[in-house]
Amino acid sequence: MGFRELVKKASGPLPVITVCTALLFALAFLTIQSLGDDNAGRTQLYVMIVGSVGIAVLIIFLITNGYALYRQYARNEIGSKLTVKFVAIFLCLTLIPFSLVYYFSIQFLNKGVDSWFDVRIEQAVEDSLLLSKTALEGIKEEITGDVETYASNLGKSLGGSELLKTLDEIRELEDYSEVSLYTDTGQIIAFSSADAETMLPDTPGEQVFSELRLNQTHTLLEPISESAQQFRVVAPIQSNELGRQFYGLQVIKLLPLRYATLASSVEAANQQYAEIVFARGPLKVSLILTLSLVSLASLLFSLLAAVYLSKRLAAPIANLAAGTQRIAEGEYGTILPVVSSDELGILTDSFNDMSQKIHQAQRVAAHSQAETETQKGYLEAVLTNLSSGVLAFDDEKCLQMNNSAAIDILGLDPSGIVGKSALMLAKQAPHTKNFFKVIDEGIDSGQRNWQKELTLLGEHGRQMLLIRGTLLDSSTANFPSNEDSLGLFSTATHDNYVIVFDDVTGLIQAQRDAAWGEVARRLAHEIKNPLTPIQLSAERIKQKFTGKVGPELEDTLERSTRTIVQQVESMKEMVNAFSTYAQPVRAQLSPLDANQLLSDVIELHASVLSDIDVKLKLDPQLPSIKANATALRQVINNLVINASHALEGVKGASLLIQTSVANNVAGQYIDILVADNGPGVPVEIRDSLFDPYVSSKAKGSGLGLAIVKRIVEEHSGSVAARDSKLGGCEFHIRLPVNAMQTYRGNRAQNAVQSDSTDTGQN
Amino acid sequence: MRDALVSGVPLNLELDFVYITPRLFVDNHSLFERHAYEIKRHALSNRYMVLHNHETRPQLFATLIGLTDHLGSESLRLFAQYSRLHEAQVTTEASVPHLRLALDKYKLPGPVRLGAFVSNQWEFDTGWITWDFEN
Repeated sequence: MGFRELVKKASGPLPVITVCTALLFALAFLTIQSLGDDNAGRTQLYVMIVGSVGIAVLIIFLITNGYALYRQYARNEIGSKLTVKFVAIFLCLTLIPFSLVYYFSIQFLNKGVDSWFDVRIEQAVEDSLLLSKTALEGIKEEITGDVETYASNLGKSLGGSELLKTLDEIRELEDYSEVSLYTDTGQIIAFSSADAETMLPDTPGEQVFSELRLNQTHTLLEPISESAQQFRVVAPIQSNELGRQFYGLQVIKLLPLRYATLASSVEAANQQYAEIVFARGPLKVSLILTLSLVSLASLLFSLLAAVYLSKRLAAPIANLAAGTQRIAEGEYGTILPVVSSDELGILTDSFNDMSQKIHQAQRVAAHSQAETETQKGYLEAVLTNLSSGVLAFDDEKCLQMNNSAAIDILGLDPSGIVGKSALMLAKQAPHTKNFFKVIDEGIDSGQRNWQKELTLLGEHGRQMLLIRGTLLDSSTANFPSNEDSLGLFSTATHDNYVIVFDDVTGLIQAQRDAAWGEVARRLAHEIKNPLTPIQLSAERIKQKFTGKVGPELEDTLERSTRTIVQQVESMKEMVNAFSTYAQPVRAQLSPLDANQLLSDVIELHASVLSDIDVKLKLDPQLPSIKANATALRQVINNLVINASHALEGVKGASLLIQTSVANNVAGQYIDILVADNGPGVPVEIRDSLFDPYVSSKAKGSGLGLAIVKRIVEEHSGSVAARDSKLGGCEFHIRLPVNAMQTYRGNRAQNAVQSDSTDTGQN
Repeated sequence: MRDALVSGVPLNLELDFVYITPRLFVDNHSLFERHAYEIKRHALSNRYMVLHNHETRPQLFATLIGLTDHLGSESLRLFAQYSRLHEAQVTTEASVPHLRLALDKYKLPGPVRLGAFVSNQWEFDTGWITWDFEN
């Protein structure tokens, strides 16, 4: 048991009541002892010490209880305020009557003690003493006169032989108890005693002989017991003998019994009254002190009782308050002890019943919530792993939720987009303006289901999006929010709109590539195969008829066969180019320094670019990329050749080739810029610039840029054409440093990545 | 105390004769003799009385000086007497005879007692005194 618990138990009601009871008995005893005059002084001291210790213990109890209550109040513990109020009320109820009783008790005590010492009583005691003294004085004078007479007579017959007899006669005649004769040095000459057993007389002291030397008679009333007194009279007898100054005659006479009894009574009464008068002040102090101690003990007991009663009264209410607070904090099922059968007990019982019901309801709710959480987790998993973008808008067209695919497809910054309206999202990402415009129109149309296709020109290049919108009734709308992804579903009470969209660019491109591939395959099969026999036949005709026909026919033959061979060669080249475009790049990716590749290509075409001001702005910090070097070299070749063709005949032709590092949320990229100050791309072919057989050149095959786009996209990159700051056209290629960095939905790029997984890419 | 005696309050004195043996913390007191004296004033004879060991016949003194002289000489006499009397009973050479005359507060009248316990005015104690007669 710890010290604190020990103090707590010791400060409990039972020890306090025991101490108080003992203390009150002790103080009552102390009061009796203060008024009495017996011989129990040591007990009185012990009782006073016990009383003081008891009061000190009570004060300690009160301090500990008061401090504990103060701490509870300071900590704002439940029930402490109510207890303090009860204590204050009890204190007021106790202090006021207590103060009145104490004040009047002190007054009564003062008056009462003073009344004991009435002036008349004191006068009567003094008078009785004076009367006794006067009476005894008369007796004393009478005896003194007699003794002096006998002394005078004895002085004349001191030398006679009848001295002893004379003393006996005097003693018997006057009823003296003893008569004795002394010399001036105190020697006994003769004595006569009424008590035959007395061998020696009661010799007077030296002081008596000093008086005799002054020829004075010594007379004194002497107490010899509590109820007996005697007169001692010693008279001088002048001596005429040589060397002897005087003799002393001592007479001792017992005071008659009647006088002695009265004198003892008066003496005792006077002494007792004198004691009381002397003890008047201390008595008042003692009584006031005792009264104060009793009052203090009573007050302390009342205060402690107030504290205990207050705690006892407040305890059930505090328990109820604490139980209510625990339930408010979610601790359902709290059961409080029912300690009484009164109204508080009924209230506690009702509380327990309510707590149990809340607990059961909470368990049911928790079970339902767990099921909801499971469903929510399932839905979140589905949405997260869905390749389609999903957006949910409320009836005010504010975004309620989105999945990660939507962010990836649209290239949005995912931070803080939830809660923003479609208009604000469009402003935040301008390239999605048309997308959110379509959504806005779709929602405004009020149709339950709608679908639209949209082409976006975004960071990933041109994207074909298939958008489907659905209106959800408020009764079925229940979406997890991104802001509270782990919390409960936010149950909407209004209409919601779910937008599901897919990036079908890859799909369409794949379909287109497949179509072109089929065309290429057929061309290779249907066209390329007959070309060789045609060429061989033409050459055979030329060989067979050369020199065998006339000059005019031979000239015609020569030109015709040459044309046939040339066209066949041209068709072969066309078919080969087509085949090259159609054939997918089965790339083996390896680290590639793009700056070095660009420098090599420019160096290779130095003769072609001799009349062009070529500027290379290559970023020295450009990281290596994982790429197929041959394919990328073809890309740069095509762009440089295109630029050189575009700059033919242009005065002050300029070509800018620039590299830089680009970072975005999806990862790290490099940018390759090929810009010229040529005539630029005609407006009419800009949208289909990268399609096969689209070219602004008279002799162009129309496959160069298509191959560029195909290769770049198969490297998980993107290519776009726009007006150059130099005045011509500018091609912007963005390639991921790591080919795995690809945007979702590009199925072709995924194929490239699959092929390159064995190269150690992440 | 003087006022109390003059007013008629009896005073009880105790004369203790002990042998004190020094010890480490608390000296050992071996009580050998105790004498009780009751002093009070006799109003009818205007004398001070001394009752020794509850004897019935008191000794009378006209003045307080005479009374205190008597007590002093009586104490000295008793010390000399007991020193010789109990010398043989003391086995330790370190034990020294001491005498003390003190007021017995417990025998004061009830109302006066409480005040006497806490007041210096009621302090009458000679403390332990010893005399060396040989020197």
